[in-house]
Amino acid sequence: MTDALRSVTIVGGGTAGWMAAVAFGRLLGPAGTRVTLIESDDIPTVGVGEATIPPIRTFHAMLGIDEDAFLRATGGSYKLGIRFEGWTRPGESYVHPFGQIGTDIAGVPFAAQWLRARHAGLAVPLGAYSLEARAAEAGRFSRPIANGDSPLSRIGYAYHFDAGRYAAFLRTQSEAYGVVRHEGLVKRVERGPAGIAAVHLADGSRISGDLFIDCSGFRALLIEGAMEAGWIDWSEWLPCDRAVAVPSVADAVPLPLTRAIAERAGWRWRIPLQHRTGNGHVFSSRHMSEDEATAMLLAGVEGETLADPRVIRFATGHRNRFWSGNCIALGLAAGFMEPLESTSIHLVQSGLQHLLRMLPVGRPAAATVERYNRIMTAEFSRIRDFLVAHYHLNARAEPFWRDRATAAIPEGLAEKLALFHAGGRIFREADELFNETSWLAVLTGQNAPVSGYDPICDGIPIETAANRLAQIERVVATSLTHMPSHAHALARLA
Amino acid sequence: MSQTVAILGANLCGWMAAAALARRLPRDRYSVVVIDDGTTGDGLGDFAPVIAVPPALGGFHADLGIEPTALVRATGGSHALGVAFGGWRKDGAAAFLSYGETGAPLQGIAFHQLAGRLRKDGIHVRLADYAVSAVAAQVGRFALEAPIAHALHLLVDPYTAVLRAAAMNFGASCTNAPFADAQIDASGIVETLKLADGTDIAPLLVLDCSGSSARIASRTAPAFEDWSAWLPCDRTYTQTLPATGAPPPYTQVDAQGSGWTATWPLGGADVRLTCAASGEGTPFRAGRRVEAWRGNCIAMGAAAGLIEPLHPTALTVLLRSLAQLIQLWPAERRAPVEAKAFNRFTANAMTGARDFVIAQKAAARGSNAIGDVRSEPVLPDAIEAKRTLFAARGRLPMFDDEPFEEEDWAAMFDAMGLVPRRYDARADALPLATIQQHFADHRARIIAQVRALPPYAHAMAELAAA
Repeated sequence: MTDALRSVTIVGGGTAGWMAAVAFGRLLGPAGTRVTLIESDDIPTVGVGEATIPPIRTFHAMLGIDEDAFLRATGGSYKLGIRFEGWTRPGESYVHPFGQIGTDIAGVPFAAQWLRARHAGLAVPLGAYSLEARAAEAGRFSRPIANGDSPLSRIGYAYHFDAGRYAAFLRTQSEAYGVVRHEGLVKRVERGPAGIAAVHLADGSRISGDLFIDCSGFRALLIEGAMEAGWIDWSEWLPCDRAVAVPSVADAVPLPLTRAIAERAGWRWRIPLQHRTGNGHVFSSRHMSEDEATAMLLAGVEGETLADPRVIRFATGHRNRFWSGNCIALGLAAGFMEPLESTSIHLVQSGLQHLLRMLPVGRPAAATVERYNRIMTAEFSRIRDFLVAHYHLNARAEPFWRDRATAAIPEGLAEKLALFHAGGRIFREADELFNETSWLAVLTGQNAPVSGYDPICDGIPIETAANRLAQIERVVATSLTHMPSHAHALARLA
Repeated sequence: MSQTVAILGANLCGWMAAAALARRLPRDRYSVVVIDDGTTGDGLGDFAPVIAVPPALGGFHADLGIEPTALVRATGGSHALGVAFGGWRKDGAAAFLSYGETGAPLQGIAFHQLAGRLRKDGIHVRLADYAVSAVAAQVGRFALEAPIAHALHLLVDPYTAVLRAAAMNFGASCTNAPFADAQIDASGIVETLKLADGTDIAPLLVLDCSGSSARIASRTAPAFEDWSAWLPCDRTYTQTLPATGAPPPYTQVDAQGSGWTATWPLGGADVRLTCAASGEGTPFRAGRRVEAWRGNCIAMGAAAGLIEPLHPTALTVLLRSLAQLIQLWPAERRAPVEAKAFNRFTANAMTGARDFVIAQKAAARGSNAIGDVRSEPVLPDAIEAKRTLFAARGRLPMFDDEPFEEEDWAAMFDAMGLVPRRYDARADALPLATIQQHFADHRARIIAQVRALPPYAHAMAELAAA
């Protein structure tokens, strides 16, 4: 191998494959790297979720994607957060909003002052201080408006979109950057000194590459089939192993939020798009049959369904090595966690971004590969801990939920809960995807136990803090009136 | 799907109702939604920026997880052990009505009957001397954790904020836009509430907490029973005067012509409310809505009825009405049987609260001045019965759902100078010395208890430092 990266071969053309293709095409195409994507129209893709989180905007900016064009092409809608319904007990709900909540009060983080005031009965639930949470439930949306210190200036948002259309949209973009799509089924993987030398297709063609990106989904043709990277199973922490999905007619007035509704042995999602609504039911097959889960999904769907329900079987966990030799797995080939916090697409993006910072010079150095694997393992683990928190902190009565409440939890989460219990403190790990605000929203939304509050708050009298909180709440309420409806924001795209 | 219980009035009355309902109703079946009615009042008559919160609300606050010390601190409030009445009695004596118990019965005989027995032998007895709250109030002592019944004086706005926080923490919510209009069908069912942003709400029930204007109840149940013949005061005004030093731990109410002026002391200021039959001030109309619950709309607070705030009965009646509503919770919009039971209860409760005020004023005027009643209206039967029987033998016939207890009535009549001519014959069964010993022991216990208390100023300083 010479120093230059001459060719990148991507196997699989789902969301992950085309995200990789457009990233490599745009960044390496001009340098003369040949980017090839192999996909077969005979293999259906599994859309890895249709809801996203705000970092996707960074990814799109990096790729020079126009937001309006993207939303038009993918039937997309805006998203300001996720509403968790019935996760503590039936009837209760809370929003995990994007963006920042409140502002520091007298140099002390908003979260600490809010927890103290709440302790004294002087604070309303967290959502009232978040413009994103209020707007999400009120069906309002606006992109950030430069307006000084107002929360309108820093609205945090992401999207819902049709994963199939997104792949098609990215394909068009990729092909403009010179990415070559090769239609065909992979028959055999040819090993070489660096790891993989080439893939052989059903039509007899042989496609080589310096770097192979495995986006072949759950089959993991290269990373497992050839490289035997190994699998770390997480079903102990997250026992749901099936999902059944069905599209239904679009809402007349779609809310800019994803709904996650707790069910007897799992949860349902509801994702509003412009042209349809995505519905799904994630469940544990040990607690519920596929037929029963499907019936519950259909009973919960509002409006007419547009297709037959489709069951997806999955295993929660990740590759022991995400990168092995010259092969890197992205998307479902790399690992899978249920889309409770809309992280699937983000994990593809995160893998790509780290990979682009560590592109090998010649044969991948062991240190580079190790570092990548360490980073991705940590990224997966922290998201896992965040998801487990949702399940662990519940007061529901069903056997599935009682099991979740009493089962052992990962060490990292146990530490987070212990720190929160002792004075309501939340610390973000380096590079952790979910920040203090997200943890605050979910921990308090799930009624995580907390004793007392951070003594640093006592620097100002509680009345002063309560007044500042009330002021933040008023600013949020006023700002809300400046936001047009989400339906209006979507109509503007047309 | 969950059903919506709409509360019209984002004020003290509305948020108290929201907190009570959100605490009790199953969250997966009902959503409690508060709608701003566009006014700035408290929904309880808008008399003053301060409200007296009677001891009966202690349990309600505890149920919501509101800690009393934190509440007083957060609302810039103070404590009241009772009410001192100045200039009410013809003989000029001051009188004190405490929020706690007065005396203790002996062998089943009421304390005021025992007092009658002592008075017959010429022994001077003042009932208030046997109430720990009254004695503590006189010497200005009180401790935050002392087990002595007391009311609170709270600023309305921060108190509303605390209840709002509690309600929202139990799952109640408020709409983003204020109320615009209601669609009411011919049978008085509120079909739809329209908000200013075009949102429609189809409620199971509407609680009209919009104050005297009763924006929906005035349309569904317009009939109003006027009480001005007995309660001629029809206007109030407030003044806030700076005050230094620690506030006294009680309310002062001075007679002023046909009305009165109450002084609610707070740390740093006295809030004075004057209630009069003419002159300056904001008008109000004493009376009650004949049907508080009609169709699916239930009037609460001042929308249901209003009397001058001589005693803090508005919150007591509201709380008890909410408890009744929860007991009678209907399955559908049309619930005539439940409505009838509820209306009987609220009529009794409000009339009972009214009668206490009328009786107090009548007792104050009538003491030692029998016969000078030419220009006075005939008192309602229930009051006449109580007054006559009390004057004869210290007996008090009690009626259903009255907000005041027998002992409150006895203390009030006694404070106003109405002394029974005779006492319960059973009191003669006890030796005079036994009764005297009982009185002396009770008084000694009270004095010991009060001595152990710190000055109220210390309690307030502790509160500020907490």
